[in-house]
Amino acid sequence: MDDLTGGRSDGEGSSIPHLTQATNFPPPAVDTNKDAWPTGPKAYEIKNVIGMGASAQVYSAICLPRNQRCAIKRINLEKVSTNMEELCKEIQAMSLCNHENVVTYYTSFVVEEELWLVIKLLAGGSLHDIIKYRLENEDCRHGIFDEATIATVLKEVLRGLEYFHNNGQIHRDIKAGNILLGEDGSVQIADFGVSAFIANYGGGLRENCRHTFVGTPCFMAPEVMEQVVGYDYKADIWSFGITAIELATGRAPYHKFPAMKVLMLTLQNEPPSLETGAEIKDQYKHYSKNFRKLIADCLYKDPTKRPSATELLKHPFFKKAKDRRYLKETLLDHGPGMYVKPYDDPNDGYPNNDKHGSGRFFRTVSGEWTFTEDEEYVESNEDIALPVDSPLGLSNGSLTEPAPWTTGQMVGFVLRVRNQTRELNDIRFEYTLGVDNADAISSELVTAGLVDGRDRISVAANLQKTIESPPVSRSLVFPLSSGVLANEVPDESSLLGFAQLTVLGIFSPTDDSAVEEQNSVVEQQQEA
Amino acid sequence: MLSFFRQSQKNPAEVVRTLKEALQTLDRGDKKAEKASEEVSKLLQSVKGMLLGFPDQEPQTEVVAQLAQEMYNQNLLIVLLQNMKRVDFEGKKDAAQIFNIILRRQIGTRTPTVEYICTKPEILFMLISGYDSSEIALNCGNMLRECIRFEALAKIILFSPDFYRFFQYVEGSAFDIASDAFSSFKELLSKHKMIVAEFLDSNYDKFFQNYQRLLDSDNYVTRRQSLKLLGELLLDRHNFNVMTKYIGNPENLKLMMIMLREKSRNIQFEAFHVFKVFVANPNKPKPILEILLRNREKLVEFLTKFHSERTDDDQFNDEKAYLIKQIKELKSPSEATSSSSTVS
Repeated sequence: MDDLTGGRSDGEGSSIPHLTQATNFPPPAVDTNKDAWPTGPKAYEIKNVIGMGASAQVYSAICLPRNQRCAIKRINLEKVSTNMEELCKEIQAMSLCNHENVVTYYTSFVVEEELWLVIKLLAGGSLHDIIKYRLENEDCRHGIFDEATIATVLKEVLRGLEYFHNNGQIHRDIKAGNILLGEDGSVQIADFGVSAFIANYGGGLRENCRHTFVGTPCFMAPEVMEQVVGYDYKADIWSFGITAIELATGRAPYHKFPAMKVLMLTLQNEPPSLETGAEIKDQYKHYSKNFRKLIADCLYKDPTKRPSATELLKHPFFKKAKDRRYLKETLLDHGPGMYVKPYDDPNDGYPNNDKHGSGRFFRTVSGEWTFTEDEEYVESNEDIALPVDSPLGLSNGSLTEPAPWTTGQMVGFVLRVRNQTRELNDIRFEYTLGVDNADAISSELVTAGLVDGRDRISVAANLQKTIESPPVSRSLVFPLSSGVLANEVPDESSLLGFAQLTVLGIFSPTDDSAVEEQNSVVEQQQEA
Repeated sequence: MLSFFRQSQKNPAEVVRTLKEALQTLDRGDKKAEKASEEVSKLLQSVKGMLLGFPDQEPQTEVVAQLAQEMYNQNLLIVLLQNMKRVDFEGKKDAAQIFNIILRRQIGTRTPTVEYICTKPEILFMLISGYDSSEIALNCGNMLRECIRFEALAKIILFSPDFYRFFQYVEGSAFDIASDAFSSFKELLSKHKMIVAEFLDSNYDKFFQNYQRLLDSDNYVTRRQSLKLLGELLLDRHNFNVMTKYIGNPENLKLMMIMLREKSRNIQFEAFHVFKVFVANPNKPKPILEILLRNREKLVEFLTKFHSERTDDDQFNDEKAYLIKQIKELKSPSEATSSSSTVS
C-alpha cells in the first residue's frame, strides 16, 4: 500500500547515506486524512473563557475551516508542573478513545510556549457546576437531583467507564466535576489529567495495577490511599459510588474535612452512605433501596467485592434511566445555563492574570555574549529582544512573591515522595495556619504509612520552613534521612533520596469548592 | 461477546488465512469491502482472545504457537500494516496489541518474531512511515516502540537511512504525533547504549547536523525536548567519545550560551546542563577557552544570579558554584597548565 511502503524518500533506498549532508525528506505535513483537524492557531477563532486554572485556560472557540465549535484547553508548558512525558501520555490516552461517553479529542498543537488541546465543546458545563448552582439557588435539603436524573447520568458515565476499562485505562478521578454535559443532554467523562494506562499494549489482563497516588481525596478508594498493593479498575468504581452520593446530596461524604482527615475517615470507618454527610435526620430518606444498594455495592472496601462497570450496568437501579432529552429538561433548562463560573472572583484561589498565556516568545540571535574579538567591546544591542526581567531572571514574570500567609488560611500542599516499593506518590494535604503544626502533620503522614518514620523530622522541618518563608517557586526539594537503597544513586530530579514539597494554593476556610477544584487538577500543583 | 468468540474458535491457520483475505479486500471500496471491514474487526478480536486468554482461562500455548507460525508463513503482519488505515478505530488498537504480544513471544531465550522481523525489515520501515498518516500514527508508534526494545531491531533502524525521517516527524505540527515520534526517537537513542555509542561515533557529522535543526526549531517543545535529550546523551558515559567531540566545537558552546539566555526558564535550565560539560572539560581546546575567557566576568555575574531561587536544589547549586570557580580560575592558553577534575 502506497502510503506505508512507498513513503520512503527517493534516492535514499538502501544506499549508504552521505555523511556530511543533512538529509532532506519531503515534508511529512501532508496528511492523507481529510477529516484531520487543523494544527495551527490561525484556523481557530477564540471566543470566551469557560474554565481557568493556574497553568491552563479553557476557551470556547470556532474552528474556521470546518465552521465548527470546539473547546480549546491552552496549557502553559512553562508553568505546568507535570513533566512533558506525562502530558504526552495523557494526550495519547485521549486520542486513543472513541466513545460517545468519553470526551472527544480532536487535535493538539504547540503555540509558542502553550500546548493547545482541541476537544469537543460541551456547553452544559460539569455536573459539579449544576450542583453548585442548585445549592445556591434552590432548596436542596432533600437532595439535588431526582433518581431518574441520577440514574440517567450514572448509566452514561458507566458506559464511558466500561469503555475506558476495556481499553486498559483507569480514569482515577471520577467525580461530578469531571462529568460534562452537552447542550443536547449528552454526558461525557472528561479530564484525563490523572488517567493512566494500566494495560500497556500487549500486557496481559491480569497484572494490571498502578502504583501512584492521584485523584481527589474525597473520591479516593481505600486501596488507593493505602498504597499497599497496586490498584486496578475497581478504584474507579469506588469513586463512581462516591459520585452517586454527590449527585444526591450535592457533596462527597467527607467534603468538610481536610485531605488527611478524609484519608483516615475512609480507612477507619464503615463505607459512607447517603446519610454520612447528612445534617438533618431522615434528610435523604426518600431515595430508594435500589439506589442505596448501588452505592453500597460500589463502596465495598474490598475492591474484589465491587462489581465491574459492565456488571453494574445490569443493576436494577438503572431501570429508572431515561434519555438525553430528559437530562436536557431536568439539568439544562433549569440549570445555570452556559457554564458560568466566578472566574473573576479574586478569592477563588485562582490567579487571574496572564489570560493570554505568556505573550511573545523571544529568541535572541546572539544574546550578549562575546564570541569574536570584534565583538569584544561592543555593547550588546540584542537587549530589546529580551523581556526585561528574563535573562538573568529571578522570575519569569509569572511568579510573584507569595502574599504573606495569615492565621486561619488553609494552605494546600503536595508532598511527592517515593514509597517502600520506590514508586512516586503525590500526597496531598492541607495546613491551616494557626491551627495545624508541622510536627503533627508529619507524624500523621508517618502513622498513615505514607512517609518513612526516618523522614519524620526532615518532612516536618521543611514543611515548617515553607510555612515560615514560602518559596518563590512554590516548590522545594529536600534530602531525606532515609536516603536511598543500596542499588540507587541519590538524585534530586528523579527524587531518589529526596522529596518535593509543593504549595498548591492558599484558600480561605469557607471556600471549600475551591479546595476541591484545586485538589483535582494536576497541572495546578505548582502554583495555584 | 467474548464467549461467542471462544465457542466459535476456528483453528489458528484458518483464522490467519481468513483475516489476511479480509484485509486484502478492504481497499476495494465496494460492498464487499464494507463487509470485510466488519469481518476484520471480529477476527482481530478473536485473535486477541486467543493470545490473551479470557478472565477465567489462560491462553493455550499451543494455539499461540500455531497462530504465530501461521502469521510468519502468511506474512500477516505485513498485510496488516499495509491495510492498517482501513481498519476501524478499535480494530487498529487490537491490531497493535496483537503485534506487540506476538513480538514479545519467547521460546526459551529465543524471540522468534524478532528473528522473523530481522528477515523482513520492511516491517520496521512501514511502522516508521506510519507517522505520515494521522489516523494510524499512534498505533504504529506503539508497535514501533515495542520493536525498539529489542536490540537487533533497534540496530536495523538506527543504521538505516529511514532513521533520519525522525528529525521531521518529531517537529510535525500535530503534537500527539510529534511527541509520540519523539518518544520513539528517544528510545532509539537511549535504550541500547553500546549500539547507540557505535552509531553516534560513526555517524557523528550527519547526526548532529540534523540534530542542530531540532535545537534551532521554532517549536518550543521540540527545542526543549531535544536540548534535554542532548544533555542526557552527552552525559552518558557510553558516549564519551561523542561528548569529547561535541564539547570541542566552539559553535556548540556558543549555542548553549545563547540558550542559557532563552526566555524559557526550562530551556535555560536544560542548557545549563550541557554548558557545564564544556566548562568542566579538563582539556579545553583553545577556541573554547577563548570564548570562556572573553566572557569571564559576564559569565561569573550571570551564573551567580542564574536560577538563584533554586536554593533547595543542592546538586544544582554545587554544580553552579563549581562552574563559577572554574571560570574564575581560567588561565589563558599561554599560561595554561594542568586543570582540575571532570564532571562524571
